[in-house]
Amino acid sequence: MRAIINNWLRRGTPTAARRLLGLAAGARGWMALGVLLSLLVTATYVGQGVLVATSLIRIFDGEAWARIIPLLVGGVALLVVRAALLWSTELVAVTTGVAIKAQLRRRLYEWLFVLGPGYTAGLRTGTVQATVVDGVERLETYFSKFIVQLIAAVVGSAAILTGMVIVDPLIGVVLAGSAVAICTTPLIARRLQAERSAWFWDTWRRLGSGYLDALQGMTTLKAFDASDERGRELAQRSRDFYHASIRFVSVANLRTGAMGLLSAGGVALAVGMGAIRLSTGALTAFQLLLVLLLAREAFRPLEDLQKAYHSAYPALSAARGVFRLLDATPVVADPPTGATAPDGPTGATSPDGRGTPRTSTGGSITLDRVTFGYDTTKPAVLDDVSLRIEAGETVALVGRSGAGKSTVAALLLRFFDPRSGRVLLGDDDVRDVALTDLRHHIALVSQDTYLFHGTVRDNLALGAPDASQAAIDAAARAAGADEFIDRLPHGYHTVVGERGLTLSGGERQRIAIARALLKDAPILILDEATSSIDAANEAGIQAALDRLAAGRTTLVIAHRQSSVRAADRIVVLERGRVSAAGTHDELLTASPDYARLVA
Amino acid sequence: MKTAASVRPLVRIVRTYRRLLLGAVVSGIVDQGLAVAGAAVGAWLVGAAITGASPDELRPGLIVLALLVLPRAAVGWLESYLAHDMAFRALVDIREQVYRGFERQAPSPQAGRRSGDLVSTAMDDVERLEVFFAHTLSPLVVAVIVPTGSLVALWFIHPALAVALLPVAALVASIPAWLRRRAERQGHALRATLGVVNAEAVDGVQGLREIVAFNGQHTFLDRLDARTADLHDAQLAHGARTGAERAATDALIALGVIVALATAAALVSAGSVPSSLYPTAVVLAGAALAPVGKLGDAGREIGIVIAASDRVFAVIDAPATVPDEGTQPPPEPGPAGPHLGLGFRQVSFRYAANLPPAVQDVTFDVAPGETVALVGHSGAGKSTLAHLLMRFWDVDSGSIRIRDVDVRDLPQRTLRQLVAFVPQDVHLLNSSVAENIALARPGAGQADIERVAHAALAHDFIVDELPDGYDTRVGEWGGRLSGGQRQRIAIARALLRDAPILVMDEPVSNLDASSEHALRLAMSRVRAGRTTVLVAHRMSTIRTADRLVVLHQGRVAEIGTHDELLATGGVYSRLVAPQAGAPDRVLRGSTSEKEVTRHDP
Ligand SMILES: Nc1ncnc2c1ncn2[C@@H]1O[C@H](COP(=O)(O)OP(=O)(O)OP(=O)(O)O)[C@@H](O)[C@H]1O
Ligand SMILES: Nc1ncnc2c1ncn2[C@@H]1O[C@H](COP(=O)(O)OP(=O)(O)OP(=O)(O)O)[C@@H](O)[C@H]1O
Ligand SMILES: [Mg+2]
Ligand SMILES: [Mg+2]
Repeated sequence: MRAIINNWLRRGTPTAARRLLGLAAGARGWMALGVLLSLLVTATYVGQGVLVATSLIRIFDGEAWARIIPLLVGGVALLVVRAALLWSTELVAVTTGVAIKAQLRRRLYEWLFVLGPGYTAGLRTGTVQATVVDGVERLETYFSKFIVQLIAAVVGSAAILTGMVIVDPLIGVVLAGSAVAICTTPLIARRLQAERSAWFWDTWRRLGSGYLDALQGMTTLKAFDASDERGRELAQRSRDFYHASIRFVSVANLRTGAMGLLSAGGVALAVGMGAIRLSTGALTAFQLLLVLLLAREAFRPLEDLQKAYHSAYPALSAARGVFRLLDATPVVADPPTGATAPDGPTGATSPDGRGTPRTSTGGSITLDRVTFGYDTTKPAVLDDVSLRIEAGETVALVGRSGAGKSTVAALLLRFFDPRSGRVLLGDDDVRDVALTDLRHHIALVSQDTYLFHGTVRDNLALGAPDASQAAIDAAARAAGADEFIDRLPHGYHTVVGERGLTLSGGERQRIAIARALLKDAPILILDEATSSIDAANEAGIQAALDRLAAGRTTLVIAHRQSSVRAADRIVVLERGRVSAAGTHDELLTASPDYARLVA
Repeated sequence: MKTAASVRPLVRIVRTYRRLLLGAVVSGIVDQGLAVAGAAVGAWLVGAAITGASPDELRPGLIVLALLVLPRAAVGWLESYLAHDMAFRALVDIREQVYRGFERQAPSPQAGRRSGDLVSTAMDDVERLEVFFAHTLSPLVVAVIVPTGSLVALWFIHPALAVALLPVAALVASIPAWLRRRAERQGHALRATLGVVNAEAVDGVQGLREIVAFNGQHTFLDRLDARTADLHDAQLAHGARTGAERAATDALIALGVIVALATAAALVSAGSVPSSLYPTAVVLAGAALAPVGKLGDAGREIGIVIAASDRVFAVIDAPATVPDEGTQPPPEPGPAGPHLGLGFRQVSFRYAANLPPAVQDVTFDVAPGETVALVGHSGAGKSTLAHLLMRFWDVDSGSIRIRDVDVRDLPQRTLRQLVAFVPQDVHLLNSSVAENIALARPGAGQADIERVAHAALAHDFIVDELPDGYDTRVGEWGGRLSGGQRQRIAIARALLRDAPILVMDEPVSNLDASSEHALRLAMSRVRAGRTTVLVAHRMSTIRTADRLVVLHQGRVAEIGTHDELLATGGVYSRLVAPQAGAPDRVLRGSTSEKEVTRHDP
């Protein structure tokens, strides 16, 4: 029996089951309670069987009808107790699930944030969505239903079978034989089903991702008349999923069928044997009635287990998705707390020993011979780039499209680490600065604005959740966003829709600028922050930025002269290398590239 | 009744698969019938043995018992297979309809729902309907027929047994109806909150860069926790109800057994029923109610099924954002030349009733072969006009005409063959560069793709800078390309469409001036054969247009050439003033210039 239990647990690799159990750490108590309740339910069924058998035997013995009334009352009491137990079982199961899911989902997201944009850039959102929502929902059943039922079923059935052996060893052994056979049925189909279930879940996730991609790209698909085609593709995939599902079900049903056959056969055999043994005098009538009424009960927990197993199967393949995410290696790793720059000129540890840089105000940024590529097998995107921006200085980065400007910004925020060379914040290698500290120092307006579904205010306050209304107003004004926000139907409380799609392109950008200004960080990175904004508006924003840039280290990535000419220094990036640097006027005369690059 | 209304569309779908359903019902009845018969025969054997039957007399019963067991496994398998086959086929159909719904409603999804939420409808809500197709329909029929048969059998043992059991059976069957309203409410709450959790999940992944860049992790996690808590509250409430219903079902079935036990005891004591049938009566009572209990398993989920069905059919039944009812043939090239002209006639439009008009009374023409630039401050309504021409939305009043044919009178297919579009927010699909370009013309050869890539100034970077050339996967939303690279692929895509009208909404906002200049030259050749509408902020781009339509707060402020408009000193001259000085390289002190423009309205 032990071996079988272990086998039930050890699907896939042995560690997988142990890891799975590890996920339930916070819900062990609830699971134990679930087992207890489940066993009590089984006990009430047994009690009911015994009461019914006793009643029957009394009537067979010709006793008065009234003599069974106490037994009937006992039966009613038992059913009331069981109703209460069943109700609690359900509640406990949901509570178990809730305890596990709340923790797991948070943990998955915390981990995703650690994995960072460098990691998620290579993912399909739909897959992650399926893992953290559906996957976690399904995973939970493994604990709240399957594990609980497994223990309860094994203990409950074993107890009843023992009882049956005491009633009649021969019948007891026959029943125990079928019970053991039932426990082995999942093993027969295990291999088959494991494969199917992995396929099943993968197909499910891919289908979901397909829908998400199509849905988010629907406007484009429609514009190019390609939505029909995409619809046919998805329908085909949905039919593949149908095939996966029906095969999965037919294998599962084979098992259910085998199990049903064994339990019905076992009961029939026991009852038949009992009848014969009674007629040969080997059994008393009461014993036979017990066999009739309790043989079924021995299999009831196993049948419940079978149901639980069925609903838990997707859990195992969903768990694979969860573990795949949890096992991913972060693109950049947080330094161990207290670490100092290994080759830094000065110890970067602040008095509190938390590796916080001393560059809490202003702060220069330096790229020191940085080489970087997104794909390790391909030529580098940035090649031996050195660049220093003094604290309080405004430097503009210009260059052809694809030259690597946004990549510089990504390295400063440490979404990636360079292949060689160093990125410094103040005097500290960014690899030695805690990621939250680093990002605390930098405010970013990225090239492709992302706004969240939520109010304008929520979006603005992303980096400063406690900002006062006055601060929000000021930031909005500086970004030239105050006027249109006022015109929105609910002002700051207007919901902007997914990705901010209910706003115009320039309006979105201005919110992104205001959001960065509100964060009030010593370093500001503007990656083509005004590309979709008209010149008049831009000039206003530019003036405000000039004012705010005072005392702030600013990196401006831009193509328009209007955005860059006020910079203290301009750096020209050409195919991943710095080709020229200087002020606007210097470069106009010195660098023919520059004149061509900015309009 | 609300339930019936929610379930009706499901029943409509079942009709297609009525053969499978019939098969499932028949095998279900046989399966449960055999189960009841097996239990009854077993009990009969016991009764007979106790009342002194000899082994020989038991033999026929034993044989029958053995015969009843074997086919059950096969029939049970068949029932489940047929029911699921029907269910999964139905789900394929429903998903297809959901997709059509998405298609019709883009770009403004049903009731403002978010894409994560809508995907959960296409996937999980649809999947929930499996409970209805596979676990409700045939058990429902079985739960009516098998207990009826069992009651008839009991009637033959003694009518009083059937009479005593009937009310209990009716009670068990009625359980799902007791709390039906609450079940529906809980179902809706559960599905809706799950949808929101899905939507947040998508936002969390796609917005991850901003979340970590702004250290917004806590804000996000707190919000996610709050949503999850809502979901869990809904699940607990739902669990409390289903638990209660399950307990009630179980208790009533047990009560049925006790009632049968008591009634039969009285009957046996009175001698109206032979004692050998006593165990049979009791066991039959329990077995008779089992199918009703099984139906209850599905019945408890009815709230969820109804909620899921409502969400699914809300998408399927929502009206199209723009109806596709046009039947006009595509306008023929006229005597004036091969080009098609465009006309906006008093176009007004607002995105929602509670919003101010985004464009109002806009009237202008684009002559065949002409390039017109739409310029104006951010939020002036430029993209809106482009979208109206594409018929992502329909005008509230006025009309948009292509050579005097109202775009609403054209089938959408035709319209989209006439107009190629480069949107302001370029959306690339998560596939290869080549596939993204070829989206505009399925089946386009590599040569065609490269030709348009050349024209859009994309070929060089695709070949030189992308790791796998045309086979490079661009990532979700084209995230693995630089901003300017994405834009050029979008342009290449529009060129591949080779449509007589070209609409480009800020196609080069992320391009440097030298690339833009080169692109301008390349495009001038392409544009030569086309009527072009161009939205732009940069003067260098604007100046390539033949004429400018200046929008101000949704209205046309001025129309004219660049030079004319600069000379009149109106809205346009103020709009481009900060740029107008620059090209002459007369660099005034930047602050003084900004002072000037800041006071502009
Ligand atoms: N996440 C990524 N994965 C792989 N390659 C990338 C990724 N992001 C950018 N690249 C590639 O790296 C190169 C530099 O891109 P980057 O975004 O830094 O350019 P850029 O100078 O900002 O250009 P633009 O002005 O067009 O925005 C490009 O060839 C681009 O295709
Ligand atoms: N889907 C939408 N729902 C509600 N309002 C919208 C929607 N899209 C745009 N708007 C509003 O309509 C107005 C016009 O927007 P539109 O996108 O046409 O501006 P635009 O001229 O293209 O500006 P930009 O230069 O910034 O792209 C804006 O005030 C905007 O907030
Ligand atoms: Mg860039
Ligand atoms: Mg626009």
